[in-house]
Amino acid sequence: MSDTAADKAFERTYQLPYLLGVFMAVNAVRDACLVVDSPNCAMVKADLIAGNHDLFSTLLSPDGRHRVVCTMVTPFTPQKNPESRVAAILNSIAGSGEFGAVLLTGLPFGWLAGMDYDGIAAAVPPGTPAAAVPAKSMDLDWLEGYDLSLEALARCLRFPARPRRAAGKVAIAGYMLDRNEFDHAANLKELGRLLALAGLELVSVWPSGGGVAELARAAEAALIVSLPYGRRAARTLAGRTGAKLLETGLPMGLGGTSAWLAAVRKAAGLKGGPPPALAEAERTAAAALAPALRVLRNRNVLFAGDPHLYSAFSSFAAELCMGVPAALLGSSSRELGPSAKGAETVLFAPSASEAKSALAALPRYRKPDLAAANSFAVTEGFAEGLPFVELGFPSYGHHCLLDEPYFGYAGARVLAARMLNALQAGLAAPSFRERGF
Amino acid sequence: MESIVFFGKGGIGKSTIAANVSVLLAAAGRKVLHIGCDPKRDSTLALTGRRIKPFSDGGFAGAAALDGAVHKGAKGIDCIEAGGPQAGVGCAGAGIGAMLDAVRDSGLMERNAYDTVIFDVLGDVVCGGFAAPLRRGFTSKAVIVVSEEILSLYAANNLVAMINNYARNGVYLAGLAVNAKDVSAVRQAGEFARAVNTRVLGVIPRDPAVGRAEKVRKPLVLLDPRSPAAGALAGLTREILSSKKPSSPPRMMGEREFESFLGGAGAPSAPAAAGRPAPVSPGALLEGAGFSVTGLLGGQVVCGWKKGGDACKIFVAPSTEVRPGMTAVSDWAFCFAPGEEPRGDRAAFEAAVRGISALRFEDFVAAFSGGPDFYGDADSFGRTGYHPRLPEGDRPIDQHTGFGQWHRFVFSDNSGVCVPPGTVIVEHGDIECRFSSCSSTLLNTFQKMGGLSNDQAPSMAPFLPKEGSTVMNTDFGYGDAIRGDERKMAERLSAVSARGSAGGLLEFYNGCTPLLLSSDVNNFLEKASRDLKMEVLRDNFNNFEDATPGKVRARAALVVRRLAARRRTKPSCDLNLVNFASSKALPLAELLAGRGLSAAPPERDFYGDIAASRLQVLAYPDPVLTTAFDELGIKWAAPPAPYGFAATEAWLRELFAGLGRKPPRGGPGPSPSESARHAALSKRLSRFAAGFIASPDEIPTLEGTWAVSGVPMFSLLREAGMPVRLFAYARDKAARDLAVKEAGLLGKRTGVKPRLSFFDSPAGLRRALSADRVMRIVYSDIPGDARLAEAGKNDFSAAMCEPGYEGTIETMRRLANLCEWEFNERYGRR
Repeated sequence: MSDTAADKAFERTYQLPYLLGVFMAVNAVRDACLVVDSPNCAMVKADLIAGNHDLFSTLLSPDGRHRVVCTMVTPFTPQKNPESRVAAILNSIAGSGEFGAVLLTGLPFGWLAGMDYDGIAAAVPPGTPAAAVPAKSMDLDWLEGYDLSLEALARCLRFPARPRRAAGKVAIAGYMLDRNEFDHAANLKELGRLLALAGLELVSVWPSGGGVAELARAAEAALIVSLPYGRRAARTLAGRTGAKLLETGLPMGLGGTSAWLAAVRKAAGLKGGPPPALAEAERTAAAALAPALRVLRNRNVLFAGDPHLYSAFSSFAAELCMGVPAALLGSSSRELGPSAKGAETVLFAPSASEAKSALAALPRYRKPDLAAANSFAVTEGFAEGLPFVELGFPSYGHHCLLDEPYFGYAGARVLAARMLNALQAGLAAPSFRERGF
Repeated sequence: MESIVFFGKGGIGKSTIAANVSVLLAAAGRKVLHIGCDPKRDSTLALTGRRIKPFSDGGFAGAAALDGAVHKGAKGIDCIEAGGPQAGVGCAGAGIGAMLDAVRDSGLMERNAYDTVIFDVLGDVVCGGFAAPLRRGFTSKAVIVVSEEILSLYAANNLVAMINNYARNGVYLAGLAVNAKDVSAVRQAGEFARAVNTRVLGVIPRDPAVGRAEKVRKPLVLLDPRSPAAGALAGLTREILSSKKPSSPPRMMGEREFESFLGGAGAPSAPAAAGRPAPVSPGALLEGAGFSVTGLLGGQVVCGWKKGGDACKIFVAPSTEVRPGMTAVSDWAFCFAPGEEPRGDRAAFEAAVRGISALRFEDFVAAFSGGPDFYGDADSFGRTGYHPRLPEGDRPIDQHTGFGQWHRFVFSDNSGVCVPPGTVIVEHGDIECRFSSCSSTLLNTFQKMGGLSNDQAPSMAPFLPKEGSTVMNTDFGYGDAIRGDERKMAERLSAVSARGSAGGLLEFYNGCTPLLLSSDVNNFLEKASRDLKMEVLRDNFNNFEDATPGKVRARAALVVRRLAARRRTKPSCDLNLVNFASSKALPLAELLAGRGLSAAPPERDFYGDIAASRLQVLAYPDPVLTTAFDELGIKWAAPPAPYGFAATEAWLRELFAGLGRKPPRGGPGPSPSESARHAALSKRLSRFAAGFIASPDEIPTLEGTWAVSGVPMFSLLREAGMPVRLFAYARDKAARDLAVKEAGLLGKRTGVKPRLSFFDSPAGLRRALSADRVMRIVYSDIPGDARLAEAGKNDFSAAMCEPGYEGTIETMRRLANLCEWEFNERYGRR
């Protein structure tokens, strides 16, 4: 084996672990607690989120009311019945009355040892809902971890006995709330606003950063809109509540948002075209971003992040007359949504060297002018020298202390403005100048 | 849908019975799925007439692997064999779990609308993987097959416990199927059934027709439906189908009881249910006897007891974890909490214990549902609470994972131990390990550590795990777990070899999953040592920075080898700052240069810089480096860290002494300008006070939690002219007395006499902090500690402190800014 091959064998890949997705889902439900049957090394996943990506995270707390805890079990922990220890911890946390729901999962060795996490969670005395998230770290990635955690909540949550269901009420399931900052708060505000203009009421978002009580309001919805980050959860919710299920992509960009709203309206049984106020909101947003187009059009954007966001982003880029010549996707390989416009290069979980080689191989006029990417794309050197808009998980270098949506019409304006500003700021950068712009 | 699982000792006809039951059900018009859970994959031989391709041949690739694993058998029965690894490698139990996950995830059972699923599980159930069919949503009835063999009853007795464990999933024991050669065996099985509180569902007589059917690989009930055995199988099937969940669960016999049973005593005279709790709920029983479960502590249940004017507190442990001095009761034992024995006549207490003797340990656990002081009592979820017991010097076992406990405000050192270049760390683990291993386990945003060896640069956001020349992960996966990881290890070690690390040190860390599976790594490591010409060291988990004696010896030996191999050159530098964080080494190198001492540039060439320097300066006396330096006769020094003017001057003087040189004229002290700025800042700071919060046994650690590289905070504050307050957590007089004593000793050592006050609850502390208007800053290693902000205070920590004269001035400026900063005072108060 050559040195190069040896190096490749150990190269880190642009990929994130399953448990991280589980932590993210718990982070997104204010009063949820996660018990991980593991040694304390699993807790390091919290570091990828709390305080670094999400300044508002409450996963960890100095007073010990952590929302992620571990059992400190190892294969060496001498226990005649290891399940009793996990059950004791889970029951105690559920019985503390501090949490709206408790989830249980474990490291792969727990699963291999046949730990019956499902059964342990189901045996928690009535009171706080509890469910197990399958311990699938060796099989699935972070996006699956997120989905399966939401699905576990959808299985165990108690809904009101007689929810006030109405035809115009809608719930969204499978939103990626990777942090409790104002980018997501603004996204949800915008979706609520647009659905209201469309004649619908958004009663619950899974997850929204709120508590379990807010999730339970999904029972009022006559329609569950399934976003790609929580397909399983949405199916379970619809199955449990009897609501109609609509699977969509992400409402990004002007056209993307309009198409999304039209699909939701149709599924909700509303007839006719969009209400005038909605059409006006779209026109207003278009007018606001039009001046930016002369700078944005015909620019090439490198995308690096999650595949669902890529599908929506590439569609938005096309709307702005921008190209996405390369997409580096930080997940296991999966089918991309129908809105994904074909980039020359789409790599799932590439190693750093694969990604760099692919970017270097892009034809001269397809080299990126700008990167819309997460923090790891920067630290791995994918976006070296490029003007940069930090987007998606993780965003360690860009925090939102005020509304900064990227979904809906308002999101289209904000995201276009961010790309415009990054490009304009980049004009002053030597590396950019050297490349002849 | 009905689902039935057959368990039993290997080789007593379990598969024969299961296959024939499947056929009888299918013949009755049911749609049947038959799943063989045995790596031998012989459960479906009679149904299909051949060995079918098992699920494991699909690479355990989730639901996709099921596609080629479902085969049609007799009477339209769908058959699956889990398969498994070659005997002796991998984990067959995990393979069964993987197959069942695939069955569930693919929706196979719902899609094909089976009426019945039959599971045939291999002989002795040896781990949780073989109990996978008992997980939620799979099985409702279990049948144990027994024969005249004593060991089959022994296995059945254990299986009873397993099935009871999974009763929470709705599984129950339908009864026994007896495959017996004579009447005495049938009698014995019947007695066994009574002893464990179950029943015999059917007896299959010895019948040559069974052997004939096996030979031609046909189900007996099809080949010879009129044979006695076929008739018995039909009867058994009817009994299984009509069985209902018993009103009381079966009961596993204890070892002695089982031995006595085998000794001819037959069924014990006591009814099977005698050991179970009375029909009163455990909670009610406890309450009636005067007990209340108040918490969990280190896996034990904490119980209070009160009767009349008497009270006590006991710890209850499961019988598997009994300690000397505990009194055994049932499957639990108890002891009194220290100083919490009943004051009066013990008779009342003993009567109360007798009253709850029918309870099992799990009843105590179940009765615990939080208490009035949940956060005060429950500390079983981590091992460091507010009251640190530091069994090994000053290092807590775990600093950040305790649940329901207040975190301490002062954490101890996490300096680690040197990993010298030439060491290759291979972590044998999965992707989760990879995201845990390559940095320290402290959570960097939750805990900031100060001191010479800790970098607190703002760019501390996480990176993707580093995989490079020194640290690598084997990416252990599903297939490795199930089929064995020999190939993966060989491939990875070959890659290490290609790095040309001959003469180096290979440290191989076995992660949890390979540990669980008992991977045979030693054999590989011996070979690796020979092939790679590297010293090989094995450890478990990702304890890269734990200084075990073996690891210290091996790393020190590597340093010695590498240094000894270098040609001796004339030193080109006075000093080499060896294990300093770069953010600390750079300003100190400037300080040294200002005093006429040259230092090797930080992080240039580890061995080259050592060889090129006259004196090695250590941030802390790292055992690897000191051992190696001593062996080679290399001069080194590890003076107390230069935080504060006095400490900086002392540090410089020690280095001059180490070099055998005199300090410059006028001494190595601060410049007049530095002294003037120090004085101005002292004046600014003297208007305020700084606070510390600690339990009495923590107080000795406050003056820098570790001896050399840490920040001597009390001395620094004294030099800055700041009074110090000390808030001690003390719930009783003994704790207060200890705090007074320790505070006095600390004062003697540091020259700072802290003003001591006490608190015994979070609210009490908040009140005490809020009331002190002069004290504006309070020490916490948790940045932005909300507990302090809520009291209107600002947190400060060693992470804010910089070394050297200029560093001290900057530290004082930061402290002064914090003292004058009003944000939390105005907006943080709760």
